[in-house]
Amino acid sequence: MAEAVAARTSEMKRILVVDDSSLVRLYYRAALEKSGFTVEQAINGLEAMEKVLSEAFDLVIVDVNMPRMDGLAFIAALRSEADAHIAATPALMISTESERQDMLAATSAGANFYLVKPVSEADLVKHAAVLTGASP
Amino acid sequence: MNELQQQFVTEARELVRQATDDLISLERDSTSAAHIDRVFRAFHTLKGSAGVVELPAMTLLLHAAEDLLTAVRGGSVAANGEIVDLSLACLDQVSRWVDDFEEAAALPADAGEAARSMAERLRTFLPADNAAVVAPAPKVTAPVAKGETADWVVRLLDRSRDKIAEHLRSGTTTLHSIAYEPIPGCFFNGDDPLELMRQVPGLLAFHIEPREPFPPLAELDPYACNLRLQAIAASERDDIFKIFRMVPDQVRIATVPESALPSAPVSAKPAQDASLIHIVLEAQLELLRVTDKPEGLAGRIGAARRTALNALRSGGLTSIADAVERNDAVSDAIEQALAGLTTSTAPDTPRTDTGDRPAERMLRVSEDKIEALVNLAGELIVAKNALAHSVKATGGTGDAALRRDQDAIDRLVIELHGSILQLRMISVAQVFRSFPRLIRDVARQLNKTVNLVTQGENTEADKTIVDRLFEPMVHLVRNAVDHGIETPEQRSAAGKPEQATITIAASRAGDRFHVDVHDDGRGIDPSAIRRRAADKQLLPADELAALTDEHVIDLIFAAGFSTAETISDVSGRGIGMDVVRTAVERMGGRVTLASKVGAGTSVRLDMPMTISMSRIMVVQAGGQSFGISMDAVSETVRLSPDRINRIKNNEGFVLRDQVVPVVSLAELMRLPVNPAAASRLFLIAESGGRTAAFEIDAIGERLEVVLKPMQGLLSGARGYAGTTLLGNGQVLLVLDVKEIMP
Repeated sequence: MAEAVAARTSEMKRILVVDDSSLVRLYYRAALEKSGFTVEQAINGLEAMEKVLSEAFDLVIVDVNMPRMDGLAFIAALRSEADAHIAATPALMISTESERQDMLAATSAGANFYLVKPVSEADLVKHAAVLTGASP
Repeated sequence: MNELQQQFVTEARELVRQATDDLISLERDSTSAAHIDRVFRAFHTLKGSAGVVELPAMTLLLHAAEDLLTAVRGGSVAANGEIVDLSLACLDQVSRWVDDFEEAAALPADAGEAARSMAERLRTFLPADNAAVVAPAPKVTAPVAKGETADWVVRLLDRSRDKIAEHLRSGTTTLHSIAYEPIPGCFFNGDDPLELMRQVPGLLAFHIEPREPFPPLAELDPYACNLRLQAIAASERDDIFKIFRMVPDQVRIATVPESALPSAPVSAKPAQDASLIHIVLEAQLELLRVTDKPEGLAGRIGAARRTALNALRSGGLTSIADAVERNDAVSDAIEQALAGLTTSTAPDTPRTDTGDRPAERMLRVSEDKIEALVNLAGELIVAKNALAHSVKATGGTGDAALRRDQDAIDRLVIELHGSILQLRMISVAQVFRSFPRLIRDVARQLNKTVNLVTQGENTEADKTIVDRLFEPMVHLVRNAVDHGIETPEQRSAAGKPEQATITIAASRAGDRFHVDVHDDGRGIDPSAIRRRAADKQLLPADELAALTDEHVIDLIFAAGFSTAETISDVSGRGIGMDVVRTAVERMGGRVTLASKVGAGTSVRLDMPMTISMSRIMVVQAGGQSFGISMDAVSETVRLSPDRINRIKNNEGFVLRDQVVPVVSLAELMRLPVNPAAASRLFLIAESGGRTAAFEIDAIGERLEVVLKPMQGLLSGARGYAGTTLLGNGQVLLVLDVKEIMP
């Protein structure tokens, strides 16, 4: 019964995964969907921007280095969005960079949390749950 | 009673309950080895516990029962209804003795006699040559060397280095090593070594190995235990010992010396769940500190706030989350939440982990203590209101700091009150547990076979509601078995399975709480109800004829209506569905019923999840009773008529230098006013800064009641706070003092 409820609450949480690597997207999507989240994907910041403007998400998971519009630019643009609800979408940045200045750059752009690659399936799900407020 | 004895009482009750459930399942499925084993184990553990607190009579009785169950388990005795009856009777006796023991710390004088005679009855079912098969218990040598840390302890510590280091960083409990070598015949004693180990709290490392090398398969005795179990646990010695108290000679518990412990690891492990919320909150503060970039500022604040709320809610910390939500200053709110997190005793283990999350720790707290907390919280709210009043009295010039502190206290008190009310939420399981036995007994009495299905036992509601649920449910269930369910013959004639099914289910629907009792019996025949209602003259004939069948069925809730054709031993007795309705309405709930002839009946109790109780005083005026909220009453005074002065058309008197106007409650309610007596009784009420004396004839009891708002035509009536049902079924009108103030 508890499991059923858990599945339901996280099922209602929608996550947008933004990464240019299809392998990474697949990896994230599989892990998150297994835990009951609904997952959409975008291959760069521009496509991500289109998606967040057309439908509401509970979390965006964003890579830093992407062609056309990178993660930092996407999050900064998201935060400047006129619609207050869209602008306040929680953002998790996942990057290969572990230097302090990289994290500061993410925070300054408006990311709510920062993880360093590689991220294990369990860690990804755990952070997604906390950041989206999915109850257990 | 000492702690051990108290523990015994609690445990014995639990075991009796468990054994009862299993006996009933066993009766339904007499070949199930799992049920027999469980029953056997419960009796066995009970017997052992009775031995520990030295109750020879109980031990004797349980020993006899255990012998019988051994025979059942071995297949030499069949688990028939008689055996189950006798075993249940045995449990009844034990449970009476447990009550006696709790009261007097001893069994009644005739306990020995009663035990012997019941034991004899139990033994008559045993085959003649049955001798209890208990393996002799050879002494086991202490497996732990004295003084030095045993090699295996060092090995285990090393193997689980990470887990232990992690524990050492957070916990302060000393570590204990447990070496348990069950005797070869332990399985025959009903011991389950692995299960015992599993019960050890704070288990950090575990190892199991054969005590002696296993012999070739042909020579192996599968019933002999050849195991050695070793473990390291972070828990108190006493707690560990409690688990092994039945096998004290087979277990060695030793403290792990600090010198043997691994040193703290160099690098901290990645965020644990408990601290993940903490870390996320801190990250949000960081995000809010970015002030040098004007673009996207609103978005960052909104995102930080939303994320902080999410993190708190994901950990079940809703009250802290609500506080953050109410506070407009996001940074301050998050900082306060962080402070609250570290001191909070609320669930601080975020339940985001799907894997190896440690089991939730439960505390057993006596009801009295929780009641005391609830009462204190209630008084605190009154004090809080008084404080608000005093602060306001300091005038607009009041100290800003004082007002800020008062705001904080306001918020905390309300939160505290809410949290304490949460403590009162209990699951309906304990109410549901009584029904398998009840249904079995009633069904046997009536020669019916009934299968009980329960659903949603874990649904929670306020203790007051759960406690009051039992009585109406007993009525419903008895009714179902007695009137709803047909005899097996009738059922097979109607093409139904002989065994009937009764389902009791609890569920939540928003802030409401539903209990459904469903049977697959004959259903309620509207024409029978019509006849009965006509006989009892519940309604004029023409009105009765105008009712649809659905409405006719509702008549069974009318007072004095009972569908029982004959007053049977089981239900009937002149009490019926009106009792159920009254009981449920007193909790602020509703009863609805749906029935289909030939297919069965469903009754739904729709109740609030929490009860908000109001304290009222019952007063008499003009020959009628009224309720007045105690909050408005400041005192009652009795005065001689000469103290009362006439002021123009009105009366009044001076009470402590204040003129108090008199209002006759009877006159106000347009009721006949009683002639003036030798002394007059007044109830002094205060509301909205005004004081008035309501003249009344008498003061009745003080009650805690559930107020129902006025309904239907009266919903617009002014002057009433609502109605409540009294114990005798009478409706009491509760006055709203604020509205009737002169």
